[in-house]
Amino acid sequence: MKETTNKIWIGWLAFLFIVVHFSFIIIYAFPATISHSKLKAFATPYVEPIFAQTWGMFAPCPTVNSTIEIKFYFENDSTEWDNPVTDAANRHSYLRGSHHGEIVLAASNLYYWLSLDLNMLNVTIGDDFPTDRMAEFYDGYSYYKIQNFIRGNGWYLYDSKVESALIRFYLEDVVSGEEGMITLPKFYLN
Amino acid sequence: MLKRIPEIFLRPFPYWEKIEFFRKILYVFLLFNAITLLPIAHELFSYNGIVGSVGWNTNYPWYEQGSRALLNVLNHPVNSNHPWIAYCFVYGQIALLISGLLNFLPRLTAVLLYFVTANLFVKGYLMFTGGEALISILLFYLIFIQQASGKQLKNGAPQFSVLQNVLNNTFYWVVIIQICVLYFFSTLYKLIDPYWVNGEALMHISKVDTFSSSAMYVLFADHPLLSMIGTYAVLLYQGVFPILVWFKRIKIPFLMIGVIFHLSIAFGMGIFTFGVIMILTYVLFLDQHHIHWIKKRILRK
Repeated sequence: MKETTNKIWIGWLAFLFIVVHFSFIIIYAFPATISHSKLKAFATPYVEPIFAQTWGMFAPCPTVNSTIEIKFYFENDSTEWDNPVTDAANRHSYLRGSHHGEIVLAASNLYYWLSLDLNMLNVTIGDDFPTDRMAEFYDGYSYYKIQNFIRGNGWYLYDSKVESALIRFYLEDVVSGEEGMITLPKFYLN
Repeated sequence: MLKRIPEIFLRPFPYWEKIEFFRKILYVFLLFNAITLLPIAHELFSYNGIVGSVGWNTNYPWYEQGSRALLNVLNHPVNSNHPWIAYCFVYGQIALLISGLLNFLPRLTAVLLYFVTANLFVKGYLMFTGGEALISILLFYLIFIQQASGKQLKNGAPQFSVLQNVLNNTFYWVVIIQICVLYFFSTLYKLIDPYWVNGEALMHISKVDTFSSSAMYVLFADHPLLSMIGTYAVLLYQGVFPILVWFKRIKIPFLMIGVIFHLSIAFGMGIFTFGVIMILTYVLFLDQHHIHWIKKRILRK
């Protein structure tokens, strides 16, 4: 009899675990506009990093076509403006499931992180980069990601160490049709 | 009703065959994924690759960072001068997947596979999508669903200890609920986005090169009506998934619609890993005889 009661308690504990586990996940996952920031802060230590997940899945809907171009400067040489993912994008268009898709995603995700910083700097398509606000850019989401992207692509595409680089993003808003190019200040990689 | 709740977790684990089948196809897909990523392993996973490092928290020693440090091993500065560490993870993952497929030391393999895979996916975040995060979470849950130590019931089903049995039942439901929660929030986030609500989302996404293809462009870019039908169909499917997937009569046709939906994400939009992993999770919603049917087809028995 006692053993049966103990087993029932184990069953209830398992149920309680599921309730608590998903309560934390649900509190964490609710959009910021609906959730309370204090509640989310309470759930975060439990959820991150093991149960963290992107919940939006194309929400907000992506509406900007971005193309990256980089001008690499090596110790004794430099390149023309070049889109580092052109080849991968071409192959990805007919070869789904290969590693080319990841390279294309890297460029797209890089623009996503930059767009968060551009929003913070109140930069819209067609504006110049506000060079007087570099300190904020350094502290933003994208600066070091872009630096890594340049350095890594220098090795990947040219097998050379990049000394510095210029990077620009050609942007097209697919809803409004607005187009523009934003060139970031030169990146030094030493 | 109340008496049935603990019973769900205490009854002899009835889904062993299904979960083992799911584990195997997940491992096969992960193996395919790991091999296809080998040509860019350095760019993805090494400290000085294209993705680079997200950094290491130097304010706290690693043992005070908890699970964050455990899943951030490849971003530690020591990797900068020791690129072989990343390659140990890359080839370790492949070896562990093979070990898992061969059922060699399954408990240890499950733990190590989670550790290695989660670290790789955290390291390569810039080239990944929600699919990789979902794989990490599923691998973590699968650590707790383990086989019996050779004992069998009279009907040939494996026999588990009381604790292992409760863990198996519990984490089986955790995996199932995780998928339903994923669909619920995916719908919720879309419902607060104006382009999903007004039915234009697919039209706009089809014009964004990274997430489109020529077929998708032809279908949706200049056809607002088709876009509206497609957008609302996606919203409807995702929104009703956590409910309709439990109705036995309509489950199979409903999941077939989901397979088509996720195949179009994998091939039409090019988000391959996410599209495929979602289809694989549908195995968990099938009944036993469906699993038998699929296994027979695969093994051609």
